Amino acid sequence: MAATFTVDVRDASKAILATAEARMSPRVVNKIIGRAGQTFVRKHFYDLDAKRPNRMGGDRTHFYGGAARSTTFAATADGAVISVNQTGVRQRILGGPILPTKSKYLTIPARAEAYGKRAREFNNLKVVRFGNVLALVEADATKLRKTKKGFRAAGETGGGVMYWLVPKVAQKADPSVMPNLESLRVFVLEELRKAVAVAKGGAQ
Amino acid sequence: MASENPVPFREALQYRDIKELMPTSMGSAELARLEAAVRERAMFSARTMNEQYLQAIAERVRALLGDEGLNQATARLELKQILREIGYEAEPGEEGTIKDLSSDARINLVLETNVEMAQGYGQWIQGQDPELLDFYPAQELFRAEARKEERPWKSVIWPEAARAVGDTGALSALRFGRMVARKDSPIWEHISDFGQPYPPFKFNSGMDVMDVDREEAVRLGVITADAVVQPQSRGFELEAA
Repeated sequence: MAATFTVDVRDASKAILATAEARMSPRVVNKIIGRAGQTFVRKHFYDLDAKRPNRMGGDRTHFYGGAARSTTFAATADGAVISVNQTGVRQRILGGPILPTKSKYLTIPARAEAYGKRAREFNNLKVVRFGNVLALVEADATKLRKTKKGFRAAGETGGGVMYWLVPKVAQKADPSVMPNLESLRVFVLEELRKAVAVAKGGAQ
Repeated sequence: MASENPVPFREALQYRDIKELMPTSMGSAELARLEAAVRERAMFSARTMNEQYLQAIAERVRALLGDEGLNQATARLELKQILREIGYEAEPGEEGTIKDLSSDARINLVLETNVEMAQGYGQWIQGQDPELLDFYPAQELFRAEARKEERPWKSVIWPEAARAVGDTGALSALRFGRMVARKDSPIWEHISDFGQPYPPFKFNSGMDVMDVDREEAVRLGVITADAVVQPQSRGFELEAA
C-alpha cells in the first residue's frame, strides 16, 4: 500500500498563500505545492538510499532509490497529495507484524548472498533444525575446477546457513523513513515565495 | 500521514500500458538503432521471441509500478519459473550471462530498466505542464545512486553533449559544477542511449534529474529571466484532467 503524505500549507503561512493566490490561480498554486513536495520527498529518499546500504553487504537493491523514483503528486482543492508507490515503504514507517502469505515461514537472510533473493532461486538448499530453530542450509557438494581434460575436485562446499525460517516478524516502526513534514512545509512555502516573484514578472 | 487515498502514478502506468508486445530476434545493438518513438511504444527484450514470456514481464512491470505488493525478487522468481515452464534453455556458453534470459543479471536489467523508464517518463511529463514550466524551466542531472563503476558524466559525457547540441546555458552551469539544462534542450535526448529525454539515460546508470527553479536557472546562466521554455511531448500523453 502506498505511503501518502498530504501537503497542506494553508495554516502555515496565510500571508505567502494569500500573495500567491493573488498572483496565480489556486490551481497553479496547488500544482507548485505538489511538485515542490514531490521534489522534497524524492530528495529525502535518495538521501536515505545513500545512507542506508544493506547491513550485510552484498548486492544492493536500492529500496529507497526505488521509493524516490515511485514518488508522484496530485494537486487537490486545498494543497497537494504526495504518494510513494513502493511496496514496503508504509510498512517500514509504521512497523507491525509481517506474516508469510504463501508458506508457513518467512525466510530471513543469514548472509550477504541471500539478500535480495527469494529462497526458491537457490536449487541447493535443504531444511535443517538447530534445536528450536529452522534454517535453510546449503547442501554439501564438491567444488569442481575445469581442466583441459574435464573437471577435477577442488574442495568441498555447503553446510552454511543461507536463511533462517521464522513464523512471523514484528517489525519496529521507523518514523525516520518518513520525510520531516515540517521541513517539507517550509521547503514548499519557500518555493511558493519564489514562484510569487516569478509571477510578478521576473526572477529576483 | 494518510494512506486512505493513495495516488497511483498514472503517467508511469500509462507509459507501460501503451506498449505493444514486440517479440524479436534482434540483439541489443540492432534494437538500439530503432527510432525512440518505436521503442517507446513496444515491450521487447533482446532476442526474446516468446510472447507469453514478454507478457509475463509486462504484467510484472505493471505490478511493480502500481504498488501491488510485488517486489523485484518475487517478480524475478516468477519469471524464472515461467522460463522453465516454456522450456527455455540458455545457449551453451552463455549460461548465467546477460544473454541468458533466466540469469539474475538479465532479469534484473529487464525489470529495472522498464520500471525506471516508466517512472522517469512519469516525472518528466509531469514537469512539462506549462503552468509548472514557467516556474521550473530547467532540471539538473545528478548521481542518485552510487555504482561500482561510474561513467564520467560531469567530466566527459555532459560537456561533450552540451557542445554537440550548442547548449551554452548547460556549459555556463557546468562552470558552477552543475549539470543543469533547460527542459526543452536537445541535450537530454543526446545523452540518452535510448534517444529519450528522460531517465534512465543509460543502462544501470544510477543518474536522475530534479527540477531547478527559474531563479536558480537564471543565476546559473542556463536561461535568461524572460526565457520561455516550451513543453515537450512524446505523442502519447494523457490529456490534462
